[in-house]
Amino acid sequence: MGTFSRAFTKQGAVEIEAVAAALQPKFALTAGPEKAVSHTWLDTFDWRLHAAGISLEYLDDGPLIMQLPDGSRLQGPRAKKWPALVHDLPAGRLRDALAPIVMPRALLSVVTVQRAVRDSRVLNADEKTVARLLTESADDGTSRLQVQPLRGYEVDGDRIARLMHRVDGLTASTTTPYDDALTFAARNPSDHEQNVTAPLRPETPAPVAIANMLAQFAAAIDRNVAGTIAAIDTEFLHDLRVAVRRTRSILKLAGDVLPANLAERFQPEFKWLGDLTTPVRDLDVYLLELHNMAARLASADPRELDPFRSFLIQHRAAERRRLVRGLRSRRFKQMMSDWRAALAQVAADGDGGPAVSALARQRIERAFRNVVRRGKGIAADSPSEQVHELRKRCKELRYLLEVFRPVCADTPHRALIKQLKALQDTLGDFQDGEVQREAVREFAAAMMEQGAAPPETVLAMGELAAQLDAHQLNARAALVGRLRPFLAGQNRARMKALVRR
Amino acid sequence: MKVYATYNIKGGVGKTSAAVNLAHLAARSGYNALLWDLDPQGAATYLFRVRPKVKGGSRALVEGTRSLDDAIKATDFDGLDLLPADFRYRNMDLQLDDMKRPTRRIHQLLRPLDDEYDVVFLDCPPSISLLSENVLHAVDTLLVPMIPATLSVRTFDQLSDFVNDFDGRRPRVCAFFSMVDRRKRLHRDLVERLSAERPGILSTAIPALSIIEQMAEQRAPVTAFAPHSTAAKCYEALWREVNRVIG
Repeated sequence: MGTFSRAFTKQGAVEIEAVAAALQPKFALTAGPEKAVSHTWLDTFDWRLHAAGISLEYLDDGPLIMQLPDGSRLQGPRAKKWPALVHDLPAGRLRDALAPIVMPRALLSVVTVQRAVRDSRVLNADEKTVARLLTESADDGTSRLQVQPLRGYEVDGDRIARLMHRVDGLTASTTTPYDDALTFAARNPSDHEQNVTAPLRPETPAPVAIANMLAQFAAAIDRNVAGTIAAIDTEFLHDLRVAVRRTRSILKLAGDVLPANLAERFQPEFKWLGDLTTPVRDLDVYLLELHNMAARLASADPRELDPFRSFLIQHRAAERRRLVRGLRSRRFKQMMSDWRAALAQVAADGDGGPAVSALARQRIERAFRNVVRRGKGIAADSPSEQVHELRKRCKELRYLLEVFRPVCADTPHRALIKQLKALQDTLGDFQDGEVQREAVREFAAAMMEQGAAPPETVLAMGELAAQLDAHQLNARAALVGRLRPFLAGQNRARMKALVRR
Repeated sequence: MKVYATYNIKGGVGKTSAAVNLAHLAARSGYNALLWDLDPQGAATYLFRVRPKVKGGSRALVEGTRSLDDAIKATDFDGLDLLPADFRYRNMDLQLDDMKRPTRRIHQLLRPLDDEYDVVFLDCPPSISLLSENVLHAVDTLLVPMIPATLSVRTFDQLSDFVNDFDGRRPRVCAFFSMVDRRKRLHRDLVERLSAERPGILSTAIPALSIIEQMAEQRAPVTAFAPHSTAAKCYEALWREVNRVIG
């Protein structure tokens, strides 16, 4: 990469004659024809490509082009329609590069703009093309010029960029074409970022702070409803559920500071919403994991699980119909609208109640004490119910640490989250192993009842259940080791330093 | 990544023309293609207006002090890159001989490019040497242009025997007639008879046409500067047949 910017902007049209003159005598310009094109950019709903500095785009009906932050490009064929999951794209290098960044999210068309573009070539003394000059003019009168050196001609690319700095009216661009196009988009990444970080000041009255926090979660629920109903990808439902779980936890752990029995009124409603979304998410998890689980089978052939996969898909379709009915119901719409109005009222009423920092300190300490009390009672042979109770308390502590993060000191917060996360991973493995094993057994019974389970499939599912059993045993063995550092005196000291008095 | 080489012990039979046009056709059909001009004379490099120079020469490439990736230049055609020739390639045999597994070095050098290219063409110098043996180890398909003459056919037979006696993975040998002059009876007879008789000889033949010679003037593949010409159509037919034969 050169030290000079290779991208420029200009108010008004780029005069190609002025560009050609600036390149002389070292380079010559072969100007291409100007064409009107429609330029479309794609990204995931949560802007994963934008966050990675990548743009994914196509012109008219041309191929997909992926531009990486280092200036390199990958090209590949398009999906038949958008939104598309990564595996809907034809196999190839572009799909392989996108998969780890995007999966399991779908690619959506984010914005389409009409532009006049010109693709010109810069030739050296041997009349060899050493770079392309791409110019694009938008309707608002601004133009962009980009120097794209060909592979092996980066030094020439820098020279050309330096010459472009001398062209009157051209200034080095600080934004990418994708950034510029996003100003015309209905949604953009900054909306998303604002929504995930609630502004929280230590002196804010606790009811206002909690109401604002809950309003953010309500917005996250709203944001993910349409994508869940349209079945764009499985993450919409996942994110919706996370927001519901956070809402329920905050109502339980700090809802008492809200006026007018708000927490008591809405807790059953959010429980209904949580329960409504559980079956589809559970089936999503099985379907997402099944390929990996099948690959680990030692005795059975992975293909023997195909009837199980079909059963899950069928089952999911039925559960999804129920979920969609619920999300389109008057009950859901009324509940969300009442909830938003009630929270807005609390925020508007303003004063009263303790400062949020005092509330944070009190509730985090209480949650930590609960984890410690439960944790101390855990041994290698503790019954599963006790382990599950500990897992729930850990989750509560984690939510509190996350939502009150802005009023916490950084260093102890980071250390506590790191250790808690490691402990939760082990607890999660333990729980998943048990729940999934039971579910596999229930599915096998249901499939047999419906005559949908050939014997080899039942045997393969048996092996699957045994694997999950082993997985749970491993998690159990690791649990006490993970608990020890978390319960150590150092974390008590961290707790004390966490929220300043 | 599929690796092809245009190869013949004899010179002046249309190896470079075939490599340049087939590589261009592969790129035009959407593949990421690389052409490595292994011939120190650098004809393919000249055709693409690239300077025939690789920093450190063949020694740096063979010894691995410079990766192939560093030496690659884009051509003026989308999807087609070139690894240029260098006059120092004439010493490549000696440098290969100094390596641990001297006959597998080109294969090893190409391996890291597997993620980057769908198709690689090696344009080989006319000789039978350690480099040719390396090429045989590195390629999936050997494309052998032949002028229709009894001696060329004899050379093809020698090459086929050599490949058949080969240890390890044997490349597929696809020969085709090149520089065919339809006005010459001997050419017509040999093309018809041998294409039918020999299983390794493709049915597409590349005629001797002045437009193919014009590539040196135009400094571009004939499939790019005269895409509707008879010559371009013949190269297209050849590329289709090669793809069909190797499946």
